Amino acid sequence: MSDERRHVVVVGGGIAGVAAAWAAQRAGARVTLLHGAAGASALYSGALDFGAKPSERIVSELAHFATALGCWSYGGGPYRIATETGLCRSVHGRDSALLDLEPLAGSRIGVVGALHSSWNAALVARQLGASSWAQQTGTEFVVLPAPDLLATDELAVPVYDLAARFDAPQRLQALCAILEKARGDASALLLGPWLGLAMDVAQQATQTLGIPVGESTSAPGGVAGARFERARDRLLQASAIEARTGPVQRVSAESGGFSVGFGSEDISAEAVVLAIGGVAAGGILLDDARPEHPGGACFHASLQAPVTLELDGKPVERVSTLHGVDFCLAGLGTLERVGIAQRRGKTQEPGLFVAGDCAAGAPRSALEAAHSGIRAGVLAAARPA
Amino acid sequence: MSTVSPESEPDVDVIVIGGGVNGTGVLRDCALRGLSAALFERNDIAFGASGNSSGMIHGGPRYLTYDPDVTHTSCLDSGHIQRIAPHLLFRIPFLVPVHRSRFGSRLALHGYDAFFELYDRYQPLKRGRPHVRLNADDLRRLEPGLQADAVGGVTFDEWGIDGVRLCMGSAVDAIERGAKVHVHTTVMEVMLDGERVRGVRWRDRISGETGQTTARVVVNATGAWAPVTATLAGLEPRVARIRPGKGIHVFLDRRLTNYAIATTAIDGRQVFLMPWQNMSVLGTTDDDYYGDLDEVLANGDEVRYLMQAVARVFPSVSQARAIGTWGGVRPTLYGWGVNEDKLSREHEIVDHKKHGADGLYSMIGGKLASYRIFAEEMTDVVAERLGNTAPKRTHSSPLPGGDETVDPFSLCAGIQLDALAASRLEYRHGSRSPRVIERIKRCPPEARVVCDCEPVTEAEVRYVVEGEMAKTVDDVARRTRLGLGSCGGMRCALRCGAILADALDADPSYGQRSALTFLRGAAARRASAVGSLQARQEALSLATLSSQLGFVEKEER
Repeated sequence: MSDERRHVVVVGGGIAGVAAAWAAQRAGARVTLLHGAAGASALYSGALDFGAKPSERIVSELAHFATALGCWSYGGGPYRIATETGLCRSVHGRDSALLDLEPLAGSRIGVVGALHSSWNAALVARQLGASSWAQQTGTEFVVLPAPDLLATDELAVPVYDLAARFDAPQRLQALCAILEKARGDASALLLGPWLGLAMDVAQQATQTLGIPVGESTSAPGGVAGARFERARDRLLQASAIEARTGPVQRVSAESGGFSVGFGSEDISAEAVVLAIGGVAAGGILLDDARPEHPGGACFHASLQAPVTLELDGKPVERVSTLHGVDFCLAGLGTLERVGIAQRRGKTQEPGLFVAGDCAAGAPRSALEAAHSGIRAGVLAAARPA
Repeated sequence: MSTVSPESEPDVDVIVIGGGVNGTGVLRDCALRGLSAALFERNDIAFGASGNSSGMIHGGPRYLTYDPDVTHTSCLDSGHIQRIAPHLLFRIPFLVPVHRSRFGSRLALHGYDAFFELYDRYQPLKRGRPHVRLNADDLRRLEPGLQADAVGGVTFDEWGIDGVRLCMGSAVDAIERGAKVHVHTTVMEVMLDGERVRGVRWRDRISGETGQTTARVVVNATGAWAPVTATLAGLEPRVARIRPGKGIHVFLDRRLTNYAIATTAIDGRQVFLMPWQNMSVLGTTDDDYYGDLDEVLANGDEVRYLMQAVARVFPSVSQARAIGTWGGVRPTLYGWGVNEDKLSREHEIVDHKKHGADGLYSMIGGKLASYRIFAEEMTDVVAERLGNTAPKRTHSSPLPGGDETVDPFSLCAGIQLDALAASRLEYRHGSRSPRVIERIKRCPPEARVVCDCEPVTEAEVRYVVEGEMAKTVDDVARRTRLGLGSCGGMRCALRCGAILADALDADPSYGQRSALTFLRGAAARRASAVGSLQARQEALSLATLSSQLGFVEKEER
């Protein structure tokens, strides 16, 4: 069976990669997504951006993507979210399970008191209540004891596992019953970051109780990242994107396209999107100063590809020491700025695009990753003029 | 008490400036002898050399050949310290591998053997075992990661202690005996009445509050800051002259070895790799220091010097993950024209009467292992001056937590606390750890683990804020080791900030600012040691912080 569609290979299954795959597929390409291991997207907090004014270009396509993904709220903001340490701030996109405090200004919000390592309800309520937003808007935070919410041996269960337990229908039912009993006169309920991985527990509880029920952001390795991964897998399946797991060693340009070294296979593609993540995800690596790395430590991409790395607009060079980069001098911020040289998602190699945290000079938030992924996907799907 | 004019009764008998081992040691000794005393510390307890040392309370085989008195004093006092703070101790058996070399490795081995034969004479003073000579097979069996060409080696036995907890023990004990301790309070002036000391003018660096406290005697126990402190009395800095020697340590994320390994650096100095609490530490350097004492940072050269030296005998250290550094400045006795390593580790007391400040004394030099005897000698001078004849007790009276042993398993029985957390708690607080457990029993949410790496519970954070004068996240970290593990405070700093603000009844923004200050400082301390593995962690920490706080500079709407 021959397929006339343009073949796009996306390397990386984080936010940028899945956005690129989704956009390329919509633009009419046949897409293969190659996914190595969990990266920064799997660890994000549930807040999609840092609260700065979003660039104008991030609009309708991103809202479509958020809807398709099913676990994000974007476009109706700004939203106000609470962190697990009792800080609150504003964002333009959020994991939908995070309670949006903005429409609750001036009301009485219940902080549900269950005993868990991630959560001290009394402390969170006092901190949020003392925040300048709560003070200015006259919003109150009260502790609502719910001792039966978690079992006594669940105190030290990691948030990820705890959230998964609430996916079970009986547990969700029990949760709603406990919250119903605890709610008092609160106009919304804030919980720790445990509200399910697979199902939308927050939404179901909200419907059952008739008042907003939501959670705080999670610490790295918490639930928002796990929820994104579940949503991603559903989206890839629903849109019939071929997804395969394993490391990619190489992307090389060949006449009229690319060859992608995946395990023992060579996959040919007409266009490739690199969404391999930045230093945090392991897409960009730093060598150690070791005999097997002659020339001293340096940054390089985790796979071989016809790209160059850039830092602050200049190509990354070998450092003139055999003892590795000295971050006293370079500054740790380097780690967030180094990436693959690109101009609006295009590398110097025609048909090879980059998206997300591996791109040099791009802001590193989930929304920016999704936006750059969509742009790269659209570019990759388009036949060269 | 003829030397003190009775015009008006001073607030206290003795003011101690400086909250390191010597300062807290003098404060405790004064309190034990019934003298009223107050301590002023510009930063925090154990902020300087005391809290940034490897914690070895050894005789220092390093000093044996040219300073045997120091070795004897240190070994003797190490034995006393071990008796009063048994909970804070850890044993450090050292291996000294001898490698094949063109100078004759057999001869070198004989040399070490003879040298440690001499050191063995001091071991009984500090509960140390005599050295053992090892052949190549012994060495490989004990530490398989050692470079394969070792021809043999020797062992020697040392003890270590947590320097911060030691200072905290002295401070808390003194407070319980009526002394006052002011942390984050800098002395702006040592006030004189003519040529006689009258007291100090101080300023609280957090609240901004200022005031004065009068005393009969002022003790300058500010370590490397000593010459600076002398100028506060209008004296020339050279009257309390020291030779500041910067020493750094590099921390690795786990215990890489079973034993400590001593070896030689490229310049012939002795350096080591040792398992320390739940990580490993490389140390140390000794270099003249001219920088700001409040901001002592290890630089890349120092880190690589240590890495290079240890990698030569234990190659896999270069692939280990470095998660931080410590820098401190030794207040070594002054000497010109001598190599840093050859400077005396002796200590001396300077009476500034001859400089026109009667009643002001400076404590110069010394080392962790002999702090107790140094503090005792200082207090002897003070007591004699004030006509106090009470007996000396610091060699036998246990520090808080050191009087009884506690079983960690019984500590965590019946509450939601795991045995690891309980045993780390017991290490830090000894017989006082049940006080933290009591908090958890009264308020179960405090059982939650704030810092997973160490681990540290919310109850312990609150305990050190309420009972050990912690006022910032850095202070909590110093007392509990919160945020000093492999995640670098990424998970716990903001949690700790929230608890701190709550416990101090301060605005939430105070806790957040304090957490950010801690994170920035910790990042600066790590930067010189960041390699490929830690680089990913650093990038993740940066991303995590932005996602928790948004753009930090941005004003809240």
